[in-house]
Amino acid sequence: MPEYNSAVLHELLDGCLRKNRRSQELLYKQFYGYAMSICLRYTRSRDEAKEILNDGFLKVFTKLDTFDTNRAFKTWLGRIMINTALDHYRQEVRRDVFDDVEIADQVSVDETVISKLAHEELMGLIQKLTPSYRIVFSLSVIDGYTHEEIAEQLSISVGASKSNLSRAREKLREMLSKINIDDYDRVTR
Amino acid sequence: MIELPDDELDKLFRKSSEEFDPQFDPEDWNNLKKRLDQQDGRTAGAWLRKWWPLGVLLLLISGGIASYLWLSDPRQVSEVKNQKPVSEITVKGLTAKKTESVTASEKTTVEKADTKIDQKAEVSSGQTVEEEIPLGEIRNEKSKVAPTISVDQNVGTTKQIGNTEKAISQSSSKSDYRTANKNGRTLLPRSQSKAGGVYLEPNRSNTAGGDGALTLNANGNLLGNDPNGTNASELGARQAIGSNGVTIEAEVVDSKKIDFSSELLVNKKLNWQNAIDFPGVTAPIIESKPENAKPEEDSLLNVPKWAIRVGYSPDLTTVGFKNFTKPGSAFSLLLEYGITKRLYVQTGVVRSVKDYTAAAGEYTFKKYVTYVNTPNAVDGICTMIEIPIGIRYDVAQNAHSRWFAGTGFSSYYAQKERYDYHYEKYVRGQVHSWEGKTGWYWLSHLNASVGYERTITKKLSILAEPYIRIPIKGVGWGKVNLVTTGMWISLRYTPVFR
Repeated sequence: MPEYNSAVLHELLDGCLRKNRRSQELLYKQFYGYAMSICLRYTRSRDEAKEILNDGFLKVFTKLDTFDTNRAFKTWLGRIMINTALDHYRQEVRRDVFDDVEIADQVSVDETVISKLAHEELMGLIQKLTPSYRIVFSLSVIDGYTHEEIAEQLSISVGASKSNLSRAREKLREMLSKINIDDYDRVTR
Repeated sequence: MIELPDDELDKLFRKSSEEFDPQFDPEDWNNLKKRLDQQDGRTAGAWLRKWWPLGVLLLLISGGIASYLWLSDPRQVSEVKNQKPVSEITVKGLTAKKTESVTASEKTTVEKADTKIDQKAEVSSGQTVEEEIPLGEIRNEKSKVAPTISVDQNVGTTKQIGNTEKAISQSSSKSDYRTANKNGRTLLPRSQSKAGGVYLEPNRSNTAGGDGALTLNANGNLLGNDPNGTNASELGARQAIGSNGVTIEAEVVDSKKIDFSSELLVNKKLNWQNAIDFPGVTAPIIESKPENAKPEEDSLLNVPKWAIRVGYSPDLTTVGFKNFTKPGSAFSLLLEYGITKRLYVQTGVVRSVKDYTAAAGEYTFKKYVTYVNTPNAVDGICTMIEIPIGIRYDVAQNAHSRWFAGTGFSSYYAQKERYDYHYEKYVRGQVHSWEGKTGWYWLSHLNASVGYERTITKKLSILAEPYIRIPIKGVGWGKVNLVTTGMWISLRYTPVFR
């Protein structure tokens, strides 16, 4: 057991393997924030993120016996959450659910909220991107996937991946420009 | 617009993402807990979904055993027979009829030599009432009046001989019936002795060389017990003559209340020793076999040799009895041939779609799949053609239903296979799926089933048959040990030819 999987976590994982509800609940609570932050980046709303979060944790609990304890649990959990979000995205694309209009243009940032700009608001900006921009931006910028990997995951060309990333950045800049620069500075400090 | 370099923008969002820590919402855990409960079968619905095939199987087995035991219990059969109202006494054509409120001048008649006795009586109102006396009533009253019957053959009247303490022995159980048979006594046919099990002494007619018991007596002097000189003859159990011999009251006993317990009757037997000789009239002896002694050969001849079955079943396929997915479908066409009355050989063809999930350890991966990355789970959906061959044995057979069990082997032909691989971590170039077909897997599964068959018409019947296919060896591209359960709902057609 590597150091990054603490003894407490080890006990929790053992309990989860025995399908102990209390252990599962504790593990869920402990990694809720981390997992939810990932899910929010890949979805357009908190409700959608909750759905993916629970789908992901269900996979964690049911496939925990396949977890290699020589690796970091947090990384494994993050991968599962990302994969679950991507599965969700693919299903939505298949059902042609997304109306891929650039809703970012319609976003109006409430000026009274600007002063309260924080991480949550920045995550909110990502959520306001179109799905294809949002997914590519999250995979590339935050989760470190290469364009080749993104292209394969999303069944798009590498060029399309790069293009989407570039446009995503542009949209985020547009949204940020509407926010008080002071607040922006506060966040970036 | 903010002029922010890409790397600065990326840094901004990366930092926010890392530091962003959404608040825990207990409602989210509650939702997941419900799903986990369903997954683990802790809810009633999930439990049912998971275990209903086993439940049906157990119900059928227990129901079959219960009905088999019930139908084969002689006491139950006896009770069922006893519950039938016995409206007449028939001791090989011996029918006694009761008269209520008869006068002493009642008339009785004997109908020919078949010993059927009709008792006609004039009611005081002048009307003639005839009512048949249940045999059971007479038997039940044996302690009161002996039912010895004397019939005046010449004048065609029957008379009561007296209240002698004679009892009619009876036996309503199979054990008594067998005992009687062993003692060399002639058994009455059940079709004529509705209570069953009554036996008669051999023909003891004086004219036939016997001792004269149960004979009609031509001697009128013997009928002089009636002080009025009338030929009041009664089937003593039901009638009692008053001191003046005029009025006879009959007590009607509900035959349903009669206790035919074999224990009570075990020491009872027909006693003809004190019977008065009435030459010429005897209780005829009918040579017959008990109804349950039907020749096996005849029954076998009546069983058609061939039958065809078409059926549908939900196909619940799993690997290691876990991770049941949604049921697939299976359709069957089977041919049956009867070797004996109860034993059939079966074969045919079954087409099924099997939908299942296997963990990595339950699936044999080809090298090219694991070359880049190793899947941690596989979803399989396979269209299979199955050739089962086996036997069916009818455990219990009734007029309109059967309980049976079957066993045998199945060979599979993988007609169409698709496997989707799931990975714990994405690695570029990993294999996502495989499609194809891998052909035959001979005798790969052991079959077991139990079932219930109910006839609809003479040639058509419907069956419910829970089954299980237990793997002997792996099938498909991943050599997976598939366990399949389900329940056949089949129509069975029996052609005319045998």
